[in-house]
Amino acid sequence: MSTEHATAANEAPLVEVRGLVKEFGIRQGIFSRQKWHRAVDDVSFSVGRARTLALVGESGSGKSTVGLMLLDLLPPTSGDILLEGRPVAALRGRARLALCRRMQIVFQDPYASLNARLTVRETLVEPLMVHGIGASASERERRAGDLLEDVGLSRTQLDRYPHEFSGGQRQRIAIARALSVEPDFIVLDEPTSALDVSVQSQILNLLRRLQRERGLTYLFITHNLGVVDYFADDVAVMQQGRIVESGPAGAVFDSPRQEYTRKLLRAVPSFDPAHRKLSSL
Amino acid sequence: MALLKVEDLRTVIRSRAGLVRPVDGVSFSVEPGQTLALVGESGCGKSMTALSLLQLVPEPAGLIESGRVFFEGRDLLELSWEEMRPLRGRDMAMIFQEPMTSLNPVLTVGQQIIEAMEVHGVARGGEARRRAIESLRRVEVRESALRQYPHELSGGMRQRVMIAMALVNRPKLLIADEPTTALDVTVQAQILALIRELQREEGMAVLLITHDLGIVAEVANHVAVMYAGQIVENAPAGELFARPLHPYTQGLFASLPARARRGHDLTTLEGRVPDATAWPVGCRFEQRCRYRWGTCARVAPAFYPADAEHPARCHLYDPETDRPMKGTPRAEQEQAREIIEGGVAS
Repeated sequence: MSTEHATAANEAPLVEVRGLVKEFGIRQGIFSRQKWHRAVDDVSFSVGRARTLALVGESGSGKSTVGLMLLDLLPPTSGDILLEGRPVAALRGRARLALCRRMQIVFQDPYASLNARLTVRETLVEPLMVHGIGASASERERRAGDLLEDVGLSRTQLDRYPHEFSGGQRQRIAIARALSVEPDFIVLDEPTSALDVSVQSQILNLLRRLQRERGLTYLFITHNLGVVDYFADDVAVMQQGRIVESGPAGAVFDSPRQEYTRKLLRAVPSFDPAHRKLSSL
Repeated sequence: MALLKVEDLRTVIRSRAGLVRPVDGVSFSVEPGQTLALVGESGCGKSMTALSLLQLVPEPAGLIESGRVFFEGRDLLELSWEEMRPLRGRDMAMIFQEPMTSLNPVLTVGQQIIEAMEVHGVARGGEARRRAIESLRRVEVRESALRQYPHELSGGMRQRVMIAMALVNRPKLLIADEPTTALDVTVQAQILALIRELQREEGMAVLLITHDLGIVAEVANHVAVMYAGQIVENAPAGELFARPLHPYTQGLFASLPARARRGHDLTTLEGRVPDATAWPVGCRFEQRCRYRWGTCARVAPAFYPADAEHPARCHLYDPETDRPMKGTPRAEQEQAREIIEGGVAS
């Protein structure tokens, strides 16, 4: 990351998270005392406009929980989420709804995240209606067609159901749905983990183009460090609910300061049979 | 002699859409003590190939149509279900991707591992229990897990238990179908290191089925790349990564995200795998291939060169090809090389 970028990011982060905590209550049996598990423990970060922050970590590290809280899909136990410097929690009613419009999410499994009983048209038009976008039904339908073309599908496919599409095509539809309300910020929760590598490359190219064209800001949640090394500007490494290390992706990968980051990087296969790494573990 | 030798295996599945041919003329062999990786993307037929070897193709829809599967010189496809039974789980063991669905939820770990020995008459009673503990210890699972049920264990622990169970009878061949796909990278690294270590100690052969080229680079001696029901390239691991020949293999490497590609679009393979109910007459990759010419759609390619260590199923390598340029351009192989060398923190 150049210093110029760093300053720009520091001046006006689009999204900022301060001291975010999420505790889940767990009970072993009906008579046992309630215990608390801290899934997210004092997490702070900020994402500059039109940049990509990758949140990496292993399963159970709390990275997806952070994503859900950002989207207002899960209430934080404590801490603040700020959009353009304004705390999200203070907003109610219409203002809250307007906020939801600016932040969207794409989930890992495009087989589970699309409603199987809705056509692509219905899937794309519904968020427009919720947010009152588009003057008329025909206007909304036109927008749905445009969206589909923008993600590399054809408007002739508007009346099809999710099961008629491949995994990669479904992920394109999920991306189109996220884009439909013209958000600034998109949480990408393992968006390519369920896809083959040849399809993954298509989706990554699409996400890159959309970011360029629309100035989108991404929080890219993933366990795939190869994807991060290619795609992200900055990276935050999570372990057991905490961010243990963060910084520009290149710097963190080249000279990790924390032992946990080093352990993660060592565990990535080498792609080179002449230089195997895992035998030394 | 090869431990496992598969010749022209063909498996079909009857479906409403017609006869599907997921495994369509597959041949390979696995030497004792070696690891062969069968690599390909979803739907290429790699898992169905593994199930066919053990005759576990789902019935009645599935059927092994033809081919031969020699294990220590005996053709397994000639054996009855009863005759297969002593081989499965003893001489040939298999581990699956999802340990939760392949372990029995109502039996403890100990009961399941001991059962695996008892059904084959390998050991029983105190001796079986002692071996179960030893087997768990080798995969670094504590003895107390014997009394636990699968749901009480984490994903990594369950996969270790699966491996302990598969290895307790000291198989000659381990078939591992995406053994680490559901696991975190650090656990994956431990499991792969473990499989390699056990292989070295026991001289066991491994048939590893995976879509992950990184895993292949880490553990395979030999690689067979599958596409649309067929093997399209076959080579020693070092050779395949240094010089991928088939346009599909090159495309797979080129589509990997890596720092070397930062700021550029990744290479994509446009189009999709042809329909398995009606494979094309010519090359199955033709539609997506950047080098295709007239011959490709008309004639199915054989393996060229036929007798070398590194054959590819592609007309570009036909010594008598009618295309002016033979082979793929050097630049494509070098691009793949650049991505391989520019992997994460390698």
